[in-house]
Formats: sequence, C-alpha cells, structure tokens
Amino acid sequence: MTADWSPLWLSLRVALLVSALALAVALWPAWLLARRNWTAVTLLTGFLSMVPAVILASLAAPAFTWPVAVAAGLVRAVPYTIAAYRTAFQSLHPGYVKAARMAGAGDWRIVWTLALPLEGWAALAAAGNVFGETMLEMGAALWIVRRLTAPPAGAILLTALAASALALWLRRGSAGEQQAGR
Amino acid sequence: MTGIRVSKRAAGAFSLEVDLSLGPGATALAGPAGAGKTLLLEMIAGLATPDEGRILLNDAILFDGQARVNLAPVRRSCGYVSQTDSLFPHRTLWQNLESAARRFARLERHRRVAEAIEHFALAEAAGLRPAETGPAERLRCSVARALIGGPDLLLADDAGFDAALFDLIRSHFRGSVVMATRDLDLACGAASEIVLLHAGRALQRGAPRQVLDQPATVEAARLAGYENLWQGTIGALDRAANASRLEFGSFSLTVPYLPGHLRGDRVWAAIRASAVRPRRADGPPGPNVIAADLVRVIERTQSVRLEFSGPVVAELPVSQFAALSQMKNWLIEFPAEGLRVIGFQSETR
Repeated sequence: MTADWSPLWLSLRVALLVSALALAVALWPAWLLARRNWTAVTLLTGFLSMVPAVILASLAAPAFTWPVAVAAGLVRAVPYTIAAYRTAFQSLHPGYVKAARMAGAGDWRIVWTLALPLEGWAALAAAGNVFGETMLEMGAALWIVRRLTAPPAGAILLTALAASALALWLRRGSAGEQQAGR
Repeated sequence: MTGIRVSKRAAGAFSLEVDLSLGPGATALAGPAGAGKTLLLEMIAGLATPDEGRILLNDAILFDGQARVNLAPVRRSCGYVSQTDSLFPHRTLWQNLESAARRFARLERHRRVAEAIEHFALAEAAGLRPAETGPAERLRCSVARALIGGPDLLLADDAGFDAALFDLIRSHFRGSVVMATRDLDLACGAASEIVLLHAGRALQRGAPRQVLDQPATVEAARLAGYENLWQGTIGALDRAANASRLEFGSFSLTVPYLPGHLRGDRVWAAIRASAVRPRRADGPPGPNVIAADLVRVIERTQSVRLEFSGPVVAELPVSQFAALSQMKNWLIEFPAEGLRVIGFQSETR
C-alpha cells in the first residue's frame, strides 16, 4: 500500500504561506512598536504567540480547509513575528537611524535600506521558527482530523525539525555578522 | 541670528533648560556625561523635540513650540556627527557618503561625493566597508557625510575630534560649529566660545580663556578643571592694603581685596593643581604657605600628581618632582595669581 503524502503537501503549503504572510504583515507594526514600550502589547503578542490556533481551528471549524488553517496559523505567527522583528529593530544601532534621518530618510526607507539589511537575519530566523511550528501544528491537527499515517507524520516532523535547525543557524549567523560589522 | 531657547523634561528627574545665542565660529559645549550636551545637539538637529522654546538658525525658525513649527532634520541645514561610529556597516564609505547626498541629482551627488572623498583623504578606503577601515578614516568619513549636504551648522557630539581634524574641517567648511566635548584642551584650542553645561543648565559661557580662568560658580570651576576647591569664610577685608583673608578651618589664605563682600561671607577658593607649588619645608616662609603631608603620588605621562593632606592636589613636571621626591616634609604655596575666589551667592544662584 502506498502512503498518502497529501497531508505533507498540505502542511508545507500552509506553513509556507503562513511564514511568508507573517513576514509581510508583521513588518510595519513591528517597526512602529519598536520605538515604544507598551507592556500590554508585549503581553498580548506573547500570549497569542503561544496559542495553538491551528489545532483549535481543526477542532472547532466545520471544515478544516487550507485557507482556514492559514488564517488560524496567522493568529499565532503574526504576533510571534512582530515580537521577533521588534527585538531585531530595537537592537538596531540608534546612530544609524539618526544618520538616515539626517539624510532625509523616512520610516519606510529606514526599514528597507537599514533595518532589513542589518537585522533581516533575525526576521528570517523567526520565519523559520514559524514554518517549523506551523508544520508541527498542522501535523497534530491532521493527526486529529484525518488519522495521519506514519510516513507523512514522520516527514512533517523531520521538516519541522529541519526548519527549526535552519532558524537556529540563521540566528547564530545574524549574531556573528553583527559582531563583525560593529 | 542663531539662538536656542529650549526646555525639555527627559526621563527621570533630568530636565534641560538652555537659552543660548551662538556666534559664527565654533562653540564648545563642555560638561560631564549626563549634562545634556547630546540632547541639546539632537534638539538642534531635529532628532529630539523640545517641550517648548524656539530654535533659530541664521534667522530661520527650525523649531517654535508656540507656533508648532518643527522642521524635519533634513530641512534644518545642519550636519550631525554622532558620538558613536554610525557609518552604515553594510555599505562602503562611498555608498555612505552617497546615501547622505541622496536628495541631489545624480551628477551633483557624484560630484559632492568625489569632492568629499578627495578633501577628507578617503580615496584608498572609498570602496571598503567601515569595518575594513581604521578609526581615523571612519571619523573623517562621518564628518564628510555630515558636511556633504552643505549645511550651515555642523553639530559634533563628542565625536573624538582632534586639532588636526578640526583644522581639516575648517579648511572645508565656513559655517558655524557646535561641538559637545569633555576635552577642555580641544575646546580651548578650537572653539571661539565655551558653554559650560551641568545638569541641563548652562553654568557659564564666554571666550575659552575667560571661562577657564574666571569660573563664575563652584560647579563651573569643577568643570573648568580646578581640582582644589575649599569652602570658607572671609576673615578680614583690608581695602587700604588691598588684601582679604580667607579662613578655611585649618589654614587661611590671603588674596586681593574682594569688593562687594563683607566679613563672614562664605566663599569658595579654587586653584588648579598645576598652579599649586610644593616646595621644601626648610625654605623661606611666605604668604599662602601651609605645611602638608604627602599622601599619594600618581605618575602621569608628562607630570606627577601629588595628593597632600588637606586635601590639596598638586601637579609637577616630572623633572621638578625628581628633584623633590626625597623630601619628607613639604610646604605648599598657593600663589595669589592662581587663586580664584567664588562668591557663595553665585554658587547657589
């Protein structure tokens, strides 16, 4: 009997979309929040980034389709990515921002030409984590909904671990680059 | 006219309240860390917003709290060199300069960058990233970047300028300079005016020699490098003999007559360590001479710092100390020309 690999492809699709959308959606709120210190926002993003939204959606939604999974994944991924971006932006040397402002750069220009080139590795690491966690959540949700078989479940687990390892490597690379650059 | 009248309440108990008019030359903001130098420069540059006040540069309003005018940094015609190395690390020196000249058309931008590279001797490092260059090149590039837009005012925040770099700047830039510094030697040599800042207030301003030689308050004296400061009272005033006796508990000093003071007034006496003269105990006695025990000797590159009981601090050239180092008993002379008397009222003003 050949294994049904569709859960793997579904999980990959959902995890990729969630990671990419979270990276795009979280960028601007994170830049705005990086310059303020709101405890309520920190607590809210911290809480939401721990909610297993995909699993809850698989239990609660009448039909667990991939758009539902993506929407549920974003509930957790966006706050997590905002927090990651925010930490990265806060570690951006204030002198760079001041120099850019003196040259007439606005917020968007500072984000695109300074914050992302210098701190983008941390954002990519966050995306790697989001991808891995969404894969794991999708695996768990499909296990509940479809009684996942061992081969796709193992593949999902391995992909999630690989993504997390990549995220860890990106984060280490980011720290090394920072030290070399300053 | 270039004037700054601003106030800002910052985090904690710190507040800045400054009212200054700036001359056409270089003005040094001297003061310890936390005096408000950086905040003041950032408010002029437009990187920080005052709570209220007004900032004028060559009669143009940069900030007016009442009229709600607050020009963006790029429209203020100011160049800013920050305290820390702030060249973009992922770009070459050329690209760093180019990014600061972004508002000019391509050919003009290229001309300005090429000119800055040549003037600040950066040709060899132009294609390198900041991390691949030396600190001196990075500092020159930071200055070049601040000047590339043709500002009217250069703001330098304790950027580590030396006299040579300052000369290089002055040969290229004719506008005003305001520099925050803790280096009084640089301020004295490069600036036409010094403003002593302490805890967010301008304590004293004027020509460097005047500020350094005639501190108006005890805090100004501390900032101006007077290491010996004693609080005492006026014991006697003799206009005919042009003499006043100041009493400091264990010793007294004679200084010229102090007009406008009464017997019993509290005053501060200040003298620089380099003006104090330690000498042999068997030498001739004289006015303003006290006996003191040597407590500590600290060797420096060009001089020796002597700490006596009292406490009194003296500084001697190495050669002079070598001749006196075997002495057990010391006399310390405070020459009247080196002594400064600061009224207690001006200290509390």
